[in-house]
Amino acid sequence: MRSRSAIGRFLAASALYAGLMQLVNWPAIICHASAYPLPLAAPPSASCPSIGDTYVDTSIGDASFLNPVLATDSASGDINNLVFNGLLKYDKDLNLVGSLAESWQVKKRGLRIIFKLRRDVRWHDGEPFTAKDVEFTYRKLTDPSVRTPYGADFSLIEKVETPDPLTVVVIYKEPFAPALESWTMGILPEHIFKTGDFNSHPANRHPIGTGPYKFFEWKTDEKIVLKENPDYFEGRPCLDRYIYRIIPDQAVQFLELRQQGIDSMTLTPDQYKAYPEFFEHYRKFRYPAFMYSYLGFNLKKNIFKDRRVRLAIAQAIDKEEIIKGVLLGFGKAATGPFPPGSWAFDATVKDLPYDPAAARKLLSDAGWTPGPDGWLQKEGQPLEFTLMTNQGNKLRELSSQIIQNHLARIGIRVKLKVLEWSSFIHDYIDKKDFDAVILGWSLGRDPDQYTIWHSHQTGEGQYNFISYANPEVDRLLEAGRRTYDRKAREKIYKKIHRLLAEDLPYIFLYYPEALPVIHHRFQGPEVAAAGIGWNFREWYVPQSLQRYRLAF
Amino acid sequence: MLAYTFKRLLFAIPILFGITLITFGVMHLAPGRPTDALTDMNVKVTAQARQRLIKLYGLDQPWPIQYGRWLKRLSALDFGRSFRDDRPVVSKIAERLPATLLLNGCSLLLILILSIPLGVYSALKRNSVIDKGLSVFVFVGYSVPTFWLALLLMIGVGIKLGWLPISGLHSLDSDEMPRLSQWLDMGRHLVLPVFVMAFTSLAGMSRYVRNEMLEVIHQDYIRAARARGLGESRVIFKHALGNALIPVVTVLGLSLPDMIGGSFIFETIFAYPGMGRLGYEAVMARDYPVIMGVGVIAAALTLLGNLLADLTYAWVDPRVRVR
Repeated sequence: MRSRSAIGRFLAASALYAGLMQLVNWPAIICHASAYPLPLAAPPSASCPSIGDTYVDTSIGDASFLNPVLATDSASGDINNLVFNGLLKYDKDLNLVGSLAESWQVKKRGLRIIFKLRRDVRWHDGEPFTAKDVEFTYRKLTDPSVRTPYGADFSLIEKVETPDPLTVVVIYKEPFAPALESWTMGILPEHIFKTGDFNSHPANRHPIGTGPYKFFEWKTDEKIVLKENPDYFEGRPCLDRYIYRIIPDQAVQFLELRQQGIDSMTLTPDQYKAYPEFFEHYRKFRYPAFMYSYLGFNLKKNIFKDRRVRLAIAQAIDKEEIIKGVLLGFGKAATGPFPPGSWAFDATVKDLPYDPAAARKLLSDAGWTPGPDGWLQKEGQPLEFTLMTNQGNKLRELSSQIIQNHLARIGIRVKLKVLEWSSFIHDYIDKKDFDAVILGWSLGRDPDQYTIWHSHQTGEGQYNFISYANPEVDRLLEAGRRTYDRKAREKIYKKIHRLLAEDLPYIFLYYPEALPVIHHRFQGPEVAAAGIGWNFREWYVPQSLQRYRLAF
Repeated sequence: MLAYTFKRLLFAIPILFGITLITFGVMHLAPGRPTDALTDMNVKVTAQARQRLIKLYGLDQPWPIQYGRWLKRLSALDFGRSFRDDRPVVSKIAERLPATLLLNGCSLLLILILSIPLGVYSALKRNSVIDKGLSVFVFVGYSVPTFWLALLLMIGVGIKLGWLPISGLHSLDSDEMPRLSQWLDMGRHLVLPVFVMAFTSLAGMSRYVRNEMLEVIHQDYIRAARARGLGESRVIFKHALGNALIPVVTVLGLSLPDMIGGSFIFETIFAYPGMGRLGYEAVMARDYPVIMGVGVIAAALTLLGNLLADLTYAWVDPRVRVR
């Protein structure tokens, strides 16, 4: 020992650290050769011109719960949509059609909905799907110990009955038209969740569903792999595998796209305009996303109580410049609270033209005149306000700067404030301590926006934080929830669209576009009102173009 | 020696306790709650549903009570479950740790392999053009932003030359490969991150070795060794280098927390499934149990690293012995 040199001791000490590393559970990251056999070239099935190949999708964040009742993030949603089915689903034109339910009837003016279930559905583990599973899912959605945020839509249910294994009768306390949409919620298997704690159940990481793809594996923060369900009740999907790669940086996603390491990605506007060489293997798509951005006024503030002020501000903002500057043109000026893809969208509502002269005249009619310093004022009170938005959303920050500039042109001084999200929401929005904000709404496919516009929804933490109150809008919102007939509802919501466009509680800024690219070997992607993935099950790759044939 | 070790370990307990208390307090001072990201401004989630979730997670209690509960669970070695996916914090950490150790271990090894010769050479040719050139080289590495260098190399080596994969730790089809190819595949994925990490942190270690070496070669015993007529290489590599490297052991011990802590920027750029991303994402999502779990383990390892450094130092250097 004594004779060992200092270098020897040094090396021994290094080895000690190396040994420490060995103590930790190695195999967790080392892959084992998997057991599943390579699929042979199977004959094309009825609806698939050819089958095989893998679709590699990508996401910034990893999934959390592969359980539709518990999941709230979009990554989990992407996977759950392929593994689970609801009783109903949206078709390409955003009509509700049957999925697990073969047919349904709305009775007693909406107090009773009867679903007839398909008899040919089996869970991925081979157990038959029955009405009991639907009842179980409902029980979990309303169970106070279950950590689901989706209970509200189901709290209006008085009870769920299952007279026979293929019939579900849902009895409501009051008619609630958006309830139909709530039954697109993925249905869970009772036999799996019967034992064990629901919130921490192992099946939340190894889901058993009824959908077109079966869960295969999940390597945390690396990838989630699904494989085709050959017994899917609507017919097997044409693509054999679905891989969801987690790549947390958008620039790196984009490089992976160039390298063909991923087959699909949602681009930002500037990426969409990148060199053509990035897209030589891809098809680009664009369509309006189901969301809009707005400038919302705190209607409790005196200056915004006057509609003329709101109207003047609306006329002084050049939306086209915002769309060009912020979205590089990939968007449309918004006219109301429904996106153009929705059946509630009233195309006859015209956007206010950009007209600063008219705005100035309107304000001077309302008593706001330029003071000695050039800024507008009335009785010594300056016309100025603070425009807030949240940190981390570049589009909103840029929009607020453009708006500040436009309003300065007509003499309105705008201060900008960019705040951390949580403190923005809880210390300012919830407490109604703001003048005006820039935010956006991501919308469901059903046009019910009771929680955003109804005058009863102004409490702390509720979504009518601008304190909008219009008895007629209230009445229409209530009627929209009670009416099941699509034509009648359409009328109601178009009316709401028009009223909000006139009242201007928000200035509806823009509808951004979704900008996905998909590898061009995939046949079948098609843009419809529902977006792009609505027929994913039918996408296929001709044999000669398949990329992952050997390995998978 | 044993008594000393025991005493040090005993002292670590109040320090660890203090660290957790401060971490917990600071965490609760930050605005926002774990439920915010999921439920704020989500039209599908009503205010009542949000309140119910806050209660279910026990977030309606004041933070000292929450801390008490956490401490009680910890005393049974239960780190709790993540708010994000309801999995035990311990298994979330165990899942990431190997990947981070692999990356950081490889880079540390590369740093040692490169910085020792660089440091020795610079010390011997002190103030020469090569010494100055090497200084510039390592400090360029030190100053260059890692994410920028990483992206540049991804474009150059990954896309233009097509030699290496861009991101991740495994190829998509690595499960189907024989074991040996799997290792090779992992190796190929590691080349870029290990290189970037080593290049950007070469400066510290090589400067350290250089300074130690400069100090040692002016010692009397080196002069004595030369006077005995030993060859220059024997003087340098056997007598001088050995002693110059002793303090490096301390630096290695102190780098233990870095080894397991991982780096968020690194792991995000390379889509690498390690500890840095786990910790950062937990902070962003206010996932309290995971933040605390990562915090406790990092703190414990820092203390352990310090202790280990002291002990190994005493072991390699007979002059340093505890009385």
